[in-house]
Amino acid sequence: MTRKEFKKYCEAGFLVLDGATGTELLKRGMPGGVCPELWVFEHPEVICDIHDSYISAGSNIVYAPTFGGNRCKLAEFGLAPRVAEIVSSLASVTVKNASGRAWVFGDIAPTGRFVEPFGDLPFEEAVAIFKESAAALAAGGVDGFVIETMMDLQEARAALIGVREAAPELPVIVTMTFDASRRTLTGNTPEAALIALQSLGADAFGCNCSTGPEEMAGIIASMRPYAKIPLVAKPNAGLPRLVDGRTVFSMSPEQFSGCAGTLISAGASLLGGCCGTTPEHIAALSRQVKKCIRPEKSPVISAVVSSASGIRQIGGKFTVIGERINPTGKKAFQAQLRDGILDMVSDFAIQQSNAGAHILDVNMGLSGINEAQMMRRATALLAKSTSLPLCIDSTDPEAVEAALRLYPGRALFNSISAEKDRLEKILPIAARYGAMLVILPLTDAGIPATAAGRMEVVDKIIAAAANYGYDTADICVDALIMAVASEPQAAKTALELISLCSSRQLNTVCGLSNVSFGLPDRALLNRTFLGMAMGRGLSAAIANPLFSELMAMVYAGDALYERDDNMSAYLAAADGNSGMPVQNLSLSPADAVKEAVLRGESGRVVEMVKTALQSGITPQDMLNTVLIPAVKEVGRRYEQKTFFLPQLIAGAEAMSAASAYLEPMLNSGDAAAEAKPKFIIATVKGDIHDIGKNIVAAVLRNYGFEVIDLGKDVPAEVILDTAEKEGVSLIGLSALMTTTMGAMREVTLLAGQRKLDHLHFIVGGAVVDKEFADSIGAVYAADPMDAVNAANSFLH
Amino acid sequence: MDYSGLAVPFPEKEIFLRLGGNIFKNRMDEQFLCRFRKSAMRAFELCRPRGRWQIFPVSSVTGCGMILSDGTFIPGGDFAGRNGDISFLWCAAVTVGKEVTEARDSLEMVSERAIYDAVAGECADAAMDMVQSLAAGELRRRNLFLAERRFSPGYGDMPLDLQRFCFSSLHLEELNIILNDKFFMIPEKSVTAFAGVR
Repeated sequence: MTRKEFKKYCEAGFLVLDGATGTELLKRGMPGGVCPELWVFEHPEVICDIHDSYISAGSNIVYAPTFGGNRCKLAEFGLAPRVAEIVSSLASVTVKNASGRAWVFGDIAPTGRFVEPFGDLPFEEAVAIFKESAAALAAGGVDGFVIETMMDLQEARAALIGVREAAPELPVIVTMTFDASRRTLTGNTPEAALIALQSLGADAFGCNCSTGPEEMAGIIASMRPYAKIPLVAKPNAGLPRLVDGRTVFSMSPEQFSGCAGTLISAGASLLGGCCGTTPEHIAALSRQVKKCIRPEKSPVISAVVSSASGIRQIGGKFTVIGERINPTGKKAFQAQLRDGILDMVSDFAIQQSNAGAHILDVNMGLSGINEAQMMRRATALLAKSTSLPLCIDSTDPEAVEAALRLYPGRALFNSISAEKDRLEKILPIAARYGAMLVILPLTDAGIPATAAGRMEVVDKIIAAAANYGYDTADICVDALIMAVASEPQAAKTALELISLCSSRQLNTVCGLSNVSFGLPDRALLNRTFLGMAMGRGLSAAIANPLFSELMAMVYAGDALYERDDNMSAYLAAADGNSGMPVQNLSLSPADAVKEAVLRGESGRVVEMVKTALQSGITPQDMLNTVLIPAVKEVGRRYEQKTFFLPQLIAGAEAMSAASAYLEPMLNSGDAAAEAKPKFIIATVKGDIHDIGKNIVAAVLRNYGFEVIDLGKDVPAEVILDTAEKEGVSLIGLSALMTTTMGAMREVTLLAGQRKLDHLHFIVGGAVVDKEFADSIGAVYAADPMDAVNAANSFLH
Repeated sequence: MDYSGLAVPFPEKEIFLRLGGNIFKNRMDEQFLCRFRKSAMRAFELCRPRGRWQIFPVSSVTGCGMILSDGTFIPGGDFAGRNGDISFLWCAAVTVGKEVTEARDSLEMVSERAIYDAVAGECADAAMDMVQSLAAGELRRRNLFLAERRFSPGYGDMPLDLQRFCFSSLHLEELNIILNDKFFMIPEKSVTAFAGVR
């Protein structure tokens, strides 16, 4: 079957797939613990019998018994060298048996390993593993492929690329497994997986296993708005439960088939069964499917890009493509890239994501580095560190291929022009991986001066892209804004092109900051142009989302254009949650110090303290009226749960930095500091965990205690000797494990033996509770503020 | 089954909650959120989650534990009580490696150390969830059913010294894990678990 034929059959009606194979093999005598592929290889009549049952039940497509027929899985049975022999034989036997009655699709399933960039199996190795199996299946004569039970999008991509490279003309169905939260094991959403895989060339996509049919209908429905290809539903026969010590699935054939209408209404057109289904279930399903009518086609959202777990439609709400991951004009970033360091890539990603960017542009163009290698590394890093889709920005074909091949999503590619090299070398690469295109109205002769001239170039590129299967929804036209300082008509021409594109429902994008290059108050010009362009229908801008006024304009524009349901994004932003400009409060020097402690800015607080002292505040007042109230406020917010632990500690650290700066002044001047109460803290003997103890110590210090930290694995004798020597009455003990809690008791018992009745013990740690603390004569502290409060209660 | 590189999704929400975060009440300014995410992401990049599991035939279950077919006694009344009808004992271990805790211990700021610690801990828990889910799928193919509820040595009435059984039966030295005389696993962000298989 060709891909074209498969499409035709799918359009003509519903296709019925098969049901479970593993349980049918067990029913027919396959022992547990054997390699199923080898057992069927040795007992081919069994799979023929199973297929006969499914074909009689109405299956149009049956799966070859090659679920574990890959090098990794067969290696578990010492059969890796026999992949081609076993897999092609299984294909050939089943194809021959089903010939003329049903199509046989070669079954490809997970390797059991996780693929780069999320796992340790190199991506190209994964592609090679699947390519080997696919080639064997094709040699056995299969009619197509099904890549099934995939739990990770990247492995599904590797499999699809492998299959496409082995058998480019055969159709490929891909199905993944989603849990009750509608995510795969590695966190991929159905929509993101569909968008990535259909753009990569899957002929049908859906889910198998996962859940029962009712729950699966919800998953199918969520994909439908984006599905250009047929959707597949192959659910379990309900949820598994135990009856008399055996696992049974809850749905009878009738109950199972009763859900066919729901699945079809949700958008499925290929239906079958997974765990717990039998030929009876498929027979009932087949009968039911014949009674169903295909729902009317609804418009598909094509202008959409995706990451492994997120999607972004272009042409709906205004899209901001974060421009920061680009070394141009950034010396520190350039230096890092030349040293092979990518720290700033993830920093820029996080900053832009927090600021409200929707897509991240990635440009690694820098002399003196291997752009392809760096682009691949940056893509891998960003795939792990952000759920925002990427815009791959390069003119180097190698870099483009490196990024798009690895990227676990559908990227936006920036850009294709009408230059010969780009059309001939880069367009085929972008098309191979299904990237959405930014097109640049530029030819080898240069940029046409008028908007109409540029539109002609746009049409030429669209026609070239159409040869690779692109339609206009997959394209975003770059309005090609130039600097008005050098070309006074540049903004006007770009705006005219945006209008022309909008009139033809073409999405548009622009590199916003170009317009103001060389002029003063660039932010004002950028914002003004953005407003004008949004008015003409601009869909997206490559811009710096860290400019909060710009983001505010985007939210306001969406709200005014009715693209923001109930103005929710605008209102959320206005509420201070994202992107809107924060009111520029003019803080007094003392308030600035207080704010720095509240924000945990230990790196800046000393400078602020210096400024405040210069303004006339005395060191003693700084401590008593600014810093101590500030750190108390941090503690109060922590107790009220408006701050979480890192904020509490960071506040303490800022306080510590400020106090350290003030200390010499306090000791040398009139305002000599009072003697601080001492507090001994230790992780008890036998225990090597000290993070909790360190946190408590840091917070105690900032509540005015002089902390004597004895470290971890500290014997009872050392703790008590120190208490006696230093004249300390407050002792904090930490333990993480049940086996080391006992050492806390040893400390309090020894204190009793030494008649150190004045000592107060405060204990904490993951396994410690109030009951245990009471039993050893100590006070329990659940968190650092509890410890501070307990210590203060003993002092007063 | 051995998983040398588990693709654990970044458990941001869990990390936040582990650090005492409250999604309804917590307020973080953009700068702090950025710092938190950067630290958490750096720590996550240093996690190397890997794991393995195995099943062991069970010959009988008593009120205070279960006996494996080779005669090994697995103590734990609560675990046994909930798994009276099992055929196999599932035992699993995961670790996130030593890199993240070494990096944590070298940090100057305690606030960052706390974040690294939480990331490593949550990554280990998420890795165990993933191993359990993968095992459930694998066992289903063998017509076996892995219980969802898992138990760990050192919790409830299951003694911590059961780590010795996990260590030797799963050959955890191959995952570069060391078990000390107090039954702590090193690297410290390593987790073991049991569940019943029917």
